[in-house]
Formats: sequence, structure tokens, C-alpha cells
Amino acid sequence: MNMAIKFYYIDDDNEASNGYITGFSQNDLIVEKIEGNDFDTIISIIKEKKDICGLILDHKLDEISMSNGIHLKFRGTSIAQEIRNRQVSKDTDYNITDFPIILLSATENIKNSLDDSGKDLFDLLIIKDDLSPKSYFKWIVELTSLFLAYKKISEIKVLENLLSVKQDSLDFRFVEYLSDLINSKPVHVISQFVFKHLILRQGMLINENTLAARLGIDKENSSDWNNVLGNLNEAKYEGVFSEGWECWWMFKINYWWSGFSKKPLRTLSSNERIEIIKDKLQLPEVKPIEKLPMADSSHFWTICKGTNKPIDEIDGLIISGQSNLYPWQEYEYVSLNAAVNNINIENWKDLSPISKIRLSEFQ
Amino acid sequence: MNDVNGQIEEIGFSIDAGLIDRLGRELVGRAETAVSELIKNAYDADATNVDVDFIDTENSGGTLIISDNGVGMTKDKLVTGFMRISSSDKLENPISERYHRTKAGRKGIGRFATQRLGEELVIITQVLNESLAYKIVIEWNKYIVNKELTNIKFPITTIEKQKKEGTTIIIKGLRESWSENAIKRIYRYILDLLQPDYLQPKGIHINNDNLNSKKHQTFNVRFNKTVDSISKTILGKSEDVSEKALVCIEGYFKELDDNKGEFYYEICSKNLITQINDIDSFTIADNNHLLKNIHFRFYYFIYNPEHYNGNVSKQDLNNISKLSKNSGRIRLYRNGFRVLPYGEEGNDWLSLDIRYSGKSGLTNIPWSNNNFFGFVQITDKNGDAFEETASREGLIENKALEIAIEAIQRTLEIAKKRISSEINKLKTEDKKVSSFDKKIDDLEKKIDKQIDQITSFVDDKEKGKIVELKAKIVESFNIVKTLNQSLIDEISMLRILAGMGLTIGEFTHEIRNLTNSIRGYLSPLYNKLNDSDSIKLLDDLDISVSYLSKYALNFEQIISSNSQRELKPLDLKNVISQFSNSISKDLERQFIDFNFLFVENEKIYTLPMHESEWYTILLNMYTNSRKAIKMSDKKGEIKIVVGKNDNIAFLEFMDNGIGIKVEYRDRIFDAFFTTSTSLSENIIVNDLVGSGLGLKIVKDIIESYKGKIYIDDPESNFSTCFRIEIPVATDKQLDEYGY
Repeated sequence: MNMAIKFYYIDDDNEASNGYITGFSQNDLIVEKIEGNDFDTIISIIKEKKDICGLILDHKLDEISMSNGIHLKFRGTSIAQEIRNRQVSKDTDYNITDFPIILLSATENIKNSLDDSGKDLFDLLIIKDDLSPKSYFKWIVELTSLFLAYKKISEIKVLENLLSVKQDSLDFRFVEYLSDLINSKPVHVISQFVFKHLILRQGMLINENTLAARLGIDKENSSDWNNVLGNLNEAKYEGVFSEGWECWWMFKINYWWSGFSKKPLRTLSSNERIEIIKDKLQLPEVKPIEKLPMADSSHFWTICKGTNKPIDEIDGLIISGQSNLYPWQEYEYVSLNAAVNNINIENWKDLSPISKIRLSEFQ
Repeated sequence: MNDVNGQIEEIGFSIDAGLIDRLGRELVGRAETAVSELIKNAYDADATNVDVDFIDTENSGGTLIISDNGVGMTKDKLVTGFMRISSSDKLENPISERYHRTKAGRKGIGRFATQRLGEELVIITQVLNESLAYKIVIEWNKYIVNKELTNIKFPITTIEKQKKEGTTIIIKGLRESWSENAIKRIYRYILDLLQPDYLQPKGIHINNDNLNSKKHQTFNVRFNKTVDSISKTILGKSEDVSEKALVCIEGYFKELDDNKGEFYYEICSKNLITQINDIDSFTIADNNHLLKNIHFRFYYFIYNPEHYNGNVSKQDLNNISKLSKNSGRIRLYRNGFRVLPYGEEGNDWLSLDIRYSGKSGLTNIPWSNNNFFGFVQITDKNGDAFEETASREGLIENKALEIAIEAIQRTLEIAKKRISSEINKLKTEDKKVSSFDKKIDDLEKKIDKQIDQITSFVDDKEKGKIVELKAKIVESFNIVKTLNQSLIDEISMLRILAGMGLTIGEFTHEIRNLTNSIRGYLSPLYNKLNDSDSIKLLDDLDISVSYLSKYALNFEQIISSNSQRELKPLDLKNVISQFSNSISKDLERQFIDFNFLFVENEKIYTLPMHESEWYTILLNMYTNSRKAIKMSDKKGEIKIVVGKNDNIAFLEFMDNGIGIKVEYRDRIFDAFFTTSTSLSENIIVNDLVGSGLGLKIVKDIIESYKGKIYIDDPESNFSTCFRIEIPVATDKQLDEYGY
């Protein structure tokens, strides 16, 4: 990308914000600060920026007095809400162009304190603790990818183009739903739907960890892992958000696998999968996955959210909060081991009621 | 009737003799008033001594003799003065002849007081410069209904002088009996009648002539009781409590030029522990001139020795409190004589009792009539501003009285606030001063005294045992004092630590934000520097900064969990898991291996606890282990084992540091026990880091939840093991909290 992408940034803390801006402003991403003394001023400044590609908001705008001594009396969520309202509106005096909004927060607790409607305002949530110097390069790619997705969605209203895939290959309910959105909803609604319910959620698309689990490969310890991936370029997702988030079409993986074996991946153990891959791809350095303690099956298929290691769903406990999944979405699990030992509980918080019963029976 | 010659018959009022009875008995209500009128007459006659004798008065029919050494009466005076009802004599001569006393008796009904008291009156009176005395005998019984008053006459005779000058009134056939108590009562009453103290005028221009001057207050009254010719003087004196008062309040008028002036008040402490010395003034608009004649002095008491300096004992106050019922309260004296009923028991002419009971606890010192001994001195030269009612029982409620009361009440309000604030100051200081220390000292002294008392009535051979006992008691007290001192030290150290904690909490958020933003500045450097050395430096720099942020995050988490005040059952595995996350960076830096093992598979919930307290406990254990490991030069290992025995959850915290010496094991939980050597030059850091309070705090927390902490045998490979036991949550508690 040669074109410079401009994100604007709003924060109350001058000292700290310069650091973040410096970090973000690299590799064709430019981040610039917006300052205003009150809500209306800030909104009108944003409206005037014709080159705005995205907005980064600090959550707590009301903590520190700004350089001019003024103290803002609202938070990032208020700005975001107003902007989203305007992005929906057709009234040209009121309207603001559609762009991604990123929330920057100091603590993990933001995930708890924002209710669902609050979370819908933002495309991405970044915790300040996660902003290591090297991570900025990843964030920059992601921010750019968000912008490009918005751009494409606003320009191209065709599903197959947006996702670079034939829609017949997809779950028809998904196609129906998304088509409907594309026809009637503003860009950020379409964008968030695709991002949160297709890209981030394992189902039709899977990420690298899940892919490795399903191939039965211990990717950390297999030096040929990248070579395996090299063989899977055809299965790679190339639609919107693909620059920032690598995923593969599961149906294409299955198709690729069918070329190797009549037996579906799901029915084979890790070792069995490894053997076939080693053989077919001529890549010796692929290691099988070791079961987690307390796990029985080697038919790895998903990732334990506690340990981040592969498990078979049979060995997993369903996490709470998944009663409203779309039909094409898969459940998220934690392993028995993680549940019992509360490993990384902040990532999964709690078990579903049925899982709790299962856990207590086990104990 | 003669109408033929044009002469009109004249008619005038006749007086029924029954009037005498009415004037006497009905107008002069009380016997005390009757006697006091007669004594006032003696005063008006410039007497300096009055003898009052009750003779054979055990039953009615006795005799009362009032004998004075005043100027006496000439025959003329007798006729035109004494024998003339409602004479204008006092009107025309309001000041006494010799000493220029303002006459106390005014209405001229004194004579009827005698009628009130007894059936027969004998007056013997003589003046200085005549050679004979006059005697009149009046039989009151002769004044009966249906007789013309002026027709009833009695003989007036001359007799030998009985004294140089003066009047003797003999009342025979006393209508009531007079016991010794009754006489005492009257005596005290009479004493009360006399203004106890003369208040010097404090104004500049006040006409400083003879009004109520000291000279003229020489007026001694002596009461005697005679039974079967044996005479006995009734003793008694006015109690003077002024020296023992807590505070003295005085008010007076100070005149400036041309009749203007201000009413001044003085509030001075007498026996209060602290000092009050206020002088100020006020005016009462439009009515200032009426204040000219008022002068008052009140002595204020609180019947609790607490606020007094050493001069007033509890016994003193008990006595004074008893006195206050009779001779206390605020009285009113006019021209040197008491005016009733002001200041009598049940009378609240200054509305002290009403105000006191109505007020909320703001000015919370006792402030009722019983707390005051004092009087208001009214000087009424011409007797025109203040008038006694006909019955001599009260002043007529006129403007002058109203203003006087207002001035007094105002002064009292000011005094109340002043004294109250002083006493409240004392109370709060008391709290600091009378600390446990002082109480211990007091108790020790008390016990000392009591032992000494016992010693005095014990045989010599037992005395040795008593001495031993005393020594043991002293020892015990010393132990208590030492413990108390260490408690005080601990509390002040805890306060410092708490203060520090709060301050840190304020700033952690800013620290975290700033440290995180530093990493943003580091990011472009990765692009600009591509040699591996520079990259390594950047990596190291980032690690340091992220540790910094992580440490600050720890604080923030404690602060935010501290701000949640609720107790709830805690999942121990959760607790350990979170704790190990928070120390993970530090473990890395220190190269300490950390393991935790849960013996059970099931969840273990503690009884409802405060979340942050576990953090305090574990962090403290961790800090100690860290220090121990540092001193051991070994690769550190820490292990936590969690399990449950029946209803008690246990947590064992082990490390492979230098261990705890056997002789210290009992003492490590004591406040201020520390084996920390200097970790840094910074003394302040030392004091807090090695404060020696850590384990004490931990133990306190655990024990407050009915748990235990003690040193146990560690597993092999480890040298120290702390074992914490805490009750688990009951099913009921789990239900309550929705688990």
C-alpha cells in the first residue's frame, strides 16, 4: 500500500498519547491527534476531516485536564455513539463518513464494563498493556486492514467480491443474512458482522491455531509448519480483513484433504493425520500434538481457550455466553484441565450451565 | 340631714376594723415574709445589729422579740409613722437618716406583719437624744369586725430607756409554733435576704456615693431560741462557694459620657483546667439606660470533678451540689435585700431550665438553675425603676425588669457558648491525653494506695507477702505498659503504610499509562535500527518498561479490588491462579521456579472473605520467600499446595531459601520482629520494606477469619513452609452468595 492511511486519535492525556501516536504512525499509517474542548467541537472537527480513515478513541477521556486546562466530561463511548448515529443518517448536514472506530483502554475490565451495545460501537478493542513496541507493527496491519475492509464494503456491494469466494460454498443462512445487510445497512454494520461473526469466530473460516489442531500438527515444535502452510495457499481467505487476520476456508481444507485421504480429518487421530501429511507433502519435521492432562482423545479439533492448546471437543467444556450463536458458528471450549485449574480464566470466564454440571460430576 | 339652711351634710369613709386583720393575715402571706419585713424595718432604721428571739415557741402562743439598735422612733414618729397606716413616710424619706441606706421596706405594711405573727404587739422604742423610751401595747384582737378602725386606741406610755437607741418589738401570743427547724429555716431565709456580697460599681462616672456601700452593709442578724429560760443561738452562715466555682460570670453597666454606656460582661475561669478571660460588651437598643442599675455575679458549677484543676475535690462538689438546692440558684437583690420568689426552688425567672432542656446537644454542658450560685444586684435609689409588688413577693413586671432579664440572659448565652467550647476542647484533648497509658498509671496508683491501706492493718509477718504481691503487681503493670506501647507503635506504623498505599493508588493509573506509551516511542526504533545489538538493547528496554507497567498493574488491581468492600466466598484456585499471574514477570526476573499443586480436584471455597486480603497474604509470603532465596544463593523454588481437610482449607507456602532459625519460629509473627538486613542505603525504604509488620498483618487477617497460620515442616527440597488454615464456606454461605 502506497497510499497513506490517516487515523485520528482522541485522548485526554497529552504525555501518554504522544507515545501511542508515535508507535502507530509507522509503515504508511499516520495517526494524528484531534483536540477539542467539548463534545460538539470534537464532533464537528471529525466531520470536517475528509481524509479520515479511522478513529482511535481513548476510553477514559475524562480523567486528566488537557493542555489548555479543560477537563472533558464524557468518555470515548459517547463520541463513538454519536459518530455511529451520524454514520447511519442520510442527512448530509448531519452525516459523517463511515470508518472504523478503535477503542483504546487501560484495563481488561473494559470488556466487562461495556455492555453488548457498547461493544458494537467499536471494531476493535486494544488494551494498552498489549502495546509492546513490536506489536505496533501487527496493530498497524490490523488497523489498515480494517480501513480497507470499510473502503471495499462501501464501494462494492457484492458478497462474492467482498469475500472472494463463491457463495454456493457457504452456509446459505449466512449468505442470506449478509446479503440482506449489504442491501440495507450502513458500512459499519456490514463490516462488524463479517468481522465478528465470520473472521473471528471459528466455523467457515479457521485461524492458524485451529488449522494446526485439525491437521494434528504441533505447530510450535514442527519446523516444517510453514511449509505445510505453503501448501495451503489455495485454501487461504482473501476477502476483506484478510490483510490483518489470516484464515483459511474450512471447506477448502476439507477439499484439499480429500485429495490425500478418503477418511475425513475428523475421524483420524493426530498421529494418523501426521503420517499422511508427512507422506503426501514430503515434510518430515511435523510433530504430533500431545494430549493435555485429563484429555482422552487425540482427535484434536478445537483450541482450549485456557491453555491455548488443541483439544478434541469431547474433552472440552463449553464456555458460557454462547447461547446465541449463528448456525455457521462453532462453540468455544476449555479443557477439563483448564477448567479444574482455572487456567487463564480471564479468557473464558465461566462455563455453560451444562458444562458446570459435567465438571462437578467429574470432580 | 339639714337641708333648710342650705348646709349639706358631709360624709366620709369609715373603716371597719376588720381591715387590720385582712391587711395582716391575708396580705402578708407567709410568716417568713412577716419576720423579714420587721427586720427590714430595723435595717431602714439604720440598725447594725438585730436580735431575734423565739421564746417558748414549741407550741403556739410563744413570744417573738425583735430588738435592734437602729435610730429608734420619737413619739412623733410613732404617731405619724408607725401608727399611721400607709403612711407616706417612706415615700418622702426613701433614704435612711444616718447611713443613707436605700430603704428596704417600702410599702409601709410592716406593722401588719406583726399582726400576722401574733395576737399582741408591744413596741418599745427610744432615740439617742431623749431620756425616755416609749411603749405601746396593741392587742390585735380588739380590731374586730363592725368596729370603727380609728376608734380603737391603745395606751402609749413612757418608760425607762432600755438601750441607747433602737426599737424592740415584742410579739406575744404567736399564732404558730416555731420549732428549732422552723427557726433555722427562717434564719437562713433572713440570711438569704441579705445580699451576700457587695458588688463594687465598675462604671467610670457612676455616682459613687453611698448606694449599698460596704459600710452600710454592716447589718448583723442573730437568731436565738429560748426554752424554759435557756437560750441558744441559732448558728448558720451563708455558704460561700465562690472560691470553688468553675467559672465566674459577671455583668455590669459602664457609663460613658452623657448618659450613654454599654453593658459589660466578664467570663473568668476560676478552677477550670484551662483559662478563660473574656471581657466584652453589648448594648440593648433604646433601652440601655435601664441597664444602669444592674450588676450581677454568677458562679458556675459542673458537678463532675473532671474539668476542675486540683483545688476542687469530688467531695467539695458533692457538698456544693447539696447546697445548690437551698442556697444556690440565681437570686435577685434590690437595694441589698432579697426579692422573692426569684431564685427559689421551682422558680425559673431566667428561663435557664427551659432553655437547657429544649436545646439539642450542641452546647452540651449542664446549664440549669442548679448549676449556678449567684445574684443580681439591683440598685434602685429612688425606688422608682423597680417596684416590689404589694405582697413583697416579686417585682412588678415592668420594662426595667424585662430589660434586666434580657441582659442577663444574653450574657448567660455568651458564657454558655464560651464555656462549652472550652470544655469540648478539653474533652477532645482528653481523648489524646488520657490514653490508655494514663489510665494504667491511675489504676496503678489506686492499687498502690489500696495495698498500702491493707498493709497498715496486717501483722508484720504478713507484711512480707504483701511486699511480694506489690512487686508482682508492678511487674504486671509494666508488662501491660510495654504491650500498650508496642500497640501504639504498630498502629502508627500501620497508619503510615495505609497512607502510603492510598497515595500509590492515586498515581498507579498515570504511571501505567505513561509507561505503556513509552513503548510506542520504542517501536519506530525497531525500524530504524537493524543491527542485532541495537535490537537486543531495544528488547531489553521494552522488557524493563513492561515490567514497570506490570508492577503498576498489580497495585491497580489491589486498589480496585480493595474498593470492592464486599466479602464473598473465594475459590482458592482462582486466587492462586491470579496471584501467580501477577508475580509471573517477577518470577522470571528472579529466576524462581514456581509451582502450585491442588490436592483436590473439586473447588475449594473459603468462608466469605475480602478478595484483596488474599493478595496481601500471598504477596507477603512471596516477598519473604524472595528475600530468603536471595540470601541463600540457590536457584529459587517456591511451591504452593492447596487442599482441604474436612471443613478446613489449607494452603502451604514453601520456599528453598535460607530458612527460619528455630529460635525465631515463635516470634516471627510478632509486630516489629524482623531479621531483614539493609537492602539499600535508603533508610525510609528499609523501614517499610523490613517493617516487621508483614507477618503480623498476615496473621491478623487470617485470625480474623478464624483461621491459623504457623510454621510447618516443608517437603524435601524446601526449607521453609508456612501453613495457612481457613474455614471453608458452608453450604448455606455458598447458597447465600449464589454459588
